[in-house]
Amino acid sequence: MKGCGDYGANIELLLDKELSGRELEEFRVHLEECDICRAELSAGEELSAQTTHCLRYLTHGYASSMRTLANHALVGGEE
Amino acid sequence: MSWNHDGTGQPQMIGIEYLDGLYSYAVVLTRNHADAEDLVQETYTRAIKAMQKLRAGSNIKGWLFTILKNIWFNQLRKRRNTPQLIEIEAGDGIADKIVEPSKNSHDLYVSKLEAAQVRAAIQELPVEFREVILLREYEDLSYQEIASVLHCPVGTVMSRLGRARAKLRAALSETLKKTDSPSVRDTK
Repeated sequence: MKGCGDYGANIELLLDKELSGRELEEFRVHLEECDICRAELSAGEELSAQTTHCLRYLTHGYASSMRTLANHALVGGEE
Repeated sequence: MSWNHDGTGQPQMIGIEYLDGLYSYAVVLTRNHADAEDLVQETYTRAIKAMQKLRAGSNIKGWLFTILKNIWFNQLRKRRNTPQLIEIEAGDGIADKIVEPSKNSHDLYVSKLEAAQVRAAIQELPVEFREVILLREYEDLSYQEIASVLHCPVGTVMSRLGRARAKLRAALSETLKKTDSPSVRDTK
């Protein structure tokens, strides 16, 4: 993500919780003052939410049925 | 929930809670429900055999994802051909489940369309981009953990994520332009 140029790379790092300590604090201060980076961050958060939402439904019930089968296989049918 | 093996409990039961995530990862890799199921089953079979050797404190989640990725990669090499790309059918109800019941019919239509568009955009990404998107956005792995699963440097993970997101944004901005056309807006 581009951001304002000075802190562009930090937008993704913040989204991915990879910023910490002094870098995180500095970027938070910058966000308060920079409309461009705030807008980019907001767009990134929205894309992330949409992506997670769609990926969540890939399994649609698979895991619950597999857990039942796995439990039966591993503990000899006892639940 | 701790990812680490604490050395207690039945080893065979450890890791079942990751079936959801493993299956999602398998679907992203194979783009085929049947192949994804086989892949997860093979992963779990191998993990059960090797689980007794795990030390306490091991990162079970990362270990399972790595096993799955290695199995898939070895299968690809054996096949020596490009895998069949079979679309996950729209009739699986994924778009329907994302809809909120309180919306009116027009909003329902737009919600379904947007969900389908995001899903289509994800599926059209190259596999290495789909992988990192799933491992970061859905499995919430750190860059270091993703690098460990994919056997690549952290820098590569960051680069792929950035490029994957840029591709998704570009693909979605194109489809959203079409969604915003008068013929769609006026469907009330």
